[in-house]
Amino acid sequence: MNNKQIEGRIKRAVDKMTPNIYDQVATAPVNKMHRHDPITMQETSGSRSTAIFGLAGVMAVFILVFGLFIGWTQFFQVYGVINLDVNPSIELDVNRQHKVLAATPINADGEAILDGMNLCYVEMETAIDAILGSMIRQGFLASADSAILVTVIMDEETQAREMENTIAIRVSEFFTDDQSPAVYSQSLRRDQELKSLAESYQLSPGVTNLIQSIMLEYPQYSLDELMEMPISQLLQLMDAEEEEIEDKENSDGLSSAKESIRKTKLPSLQHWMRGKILTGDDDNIDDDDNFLESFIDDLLGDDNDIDDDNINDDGDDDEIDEDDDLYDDD
Amino acid sequence: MMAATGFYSTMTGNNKSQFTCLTGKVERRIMFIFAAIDTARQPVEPVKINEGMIAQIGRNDHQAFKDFYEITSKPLFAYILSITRNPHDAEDVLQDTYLKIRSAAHLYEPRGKPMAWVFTIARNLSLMHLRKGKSIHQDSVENLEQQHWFTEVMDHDDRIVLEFLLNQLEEQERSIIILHAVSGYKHIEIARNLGLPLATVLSKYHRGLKKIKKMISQRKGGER
Repeated sequence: MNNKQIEGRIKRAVDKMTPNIYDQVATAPVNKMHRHDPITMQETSGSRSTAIFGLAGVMAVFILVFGLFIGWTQFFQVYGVINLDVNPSIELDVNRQHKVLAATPINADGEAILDGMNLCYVEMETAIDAILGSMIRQGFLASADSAILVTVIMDEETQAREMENTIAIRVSEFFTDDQSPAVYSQSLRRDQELKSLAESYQLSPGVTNLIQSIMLEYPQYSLDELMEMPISQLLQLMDAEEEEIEDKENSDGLSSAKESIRKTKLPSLQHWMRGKILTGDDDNIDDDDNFLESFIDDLLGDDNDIDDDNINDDGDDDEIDEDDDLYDDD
Repeated sequence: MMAATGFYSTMTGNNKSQFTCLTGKVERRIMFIFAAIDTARQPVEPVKINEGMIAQIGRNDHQAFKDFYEITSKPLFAYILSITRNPHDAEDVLQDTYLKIRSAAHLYEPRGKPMAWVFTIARNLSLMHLRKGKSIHQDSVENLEQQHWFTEVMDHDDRIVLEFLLNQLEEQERSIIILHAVSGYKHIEIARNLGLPLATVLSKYHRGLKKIKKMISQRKGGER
């Protein structure tokens, strides 16, 4: 028996059973109600509950979408881009949780460094350690004048600076021996033009920005010449430029405790501080975060009375050693 | 014969004249077979009332009430029967329902679903009736078979299917299947009128029919 046959039987049976009570119900006297009672009440509560359920559904969808958006921004959206340039150039995309979303080699040496590494969703600091370790193993940081350029590309300036500091310290801490490379750092805003230019020269945006800065100061160098130079040489050129600026500032009586620290012989820290100038924003140094102030204070044992001249002129090794110890302990 | 003819006329009124001359058991059997085929072939016209009809009833328009009664009595009785599971109770509730509609029709606010309001009144009165303990819905199939109302259903198979429907299915399954069969409502209209989600109506409709089929096949197996 199929559905229609069953329904046909039900219909026949019910039709047969349906009584004809028209006369009773049509003629019986009825009192007109003044208002609805619970039996005749029209479905206001039903429609209200439908509206409530509808609203709840919309809210649930909204919360879900909002949650997905938050989740996406927290875990899958590229929050910042980090360039690590030695000669191998590597780009790391990180999310808001400072986890690596993608590690991309920018040149052939970079490919060799990342060969066999899976850095996806690895902590940013751990990934940097792994990359530096790989660079050391493959002899890219063996020479005494080697240098590392750390570039953080992010739209939010404060966060970019915080990340830049974190990475610069991390890289500096990674090297404990005397042969540690100079660490330079800079923060850049996202710039599609710079990115396109960098891609066309197979350079990182960080190095491209560095070359552009040098070209402004040294017009005698052509773009091709600068592109041929190793990172360390580019950074030395930048160093020379910065020293000129410092000399000029000192002659203007603008020297400060921070400037004297930049002149210590702690290679990593010195270059890191100098690297701040690469941003082209002097406020980065003068208005640096409390974090930097406290870090410097820690290094100096809160000794703000240091005679700049003593350090600068005497090159006091004892004091430097003490600083070294403090740094290492830190 | 007259009873059979009368029964058949309720099913296929336009073909009545073809069978009035038939007599005897064989003819009656043939008539039922044709009736079954005819019912299965003809789509049931869905019960439609307009909201103006309720307003007219509210203004004591007797013709409007008569039209309303003719259109709604069968599906309404079927729906009430699906809740009370007892034809006698269903008749009482049906009577109460029409009286209630007459007394409250002037208060009805048009919202596009007049039958939903009618079914709500019928359901509320049915449940009230059950709460008052007038129902005998706990009776077994065997007891129901003995009742006069069910014996009026002359076709044995029709009666068996109806008894299965009323005694073995859940309330919503009963209401949905009976309304689909008797009123000709589409599932979406049943969902709208009973205030149920369409998915619920569809699943309960198919589940209920499946149960009936299973019981019929078990019964046939037992008879063999």
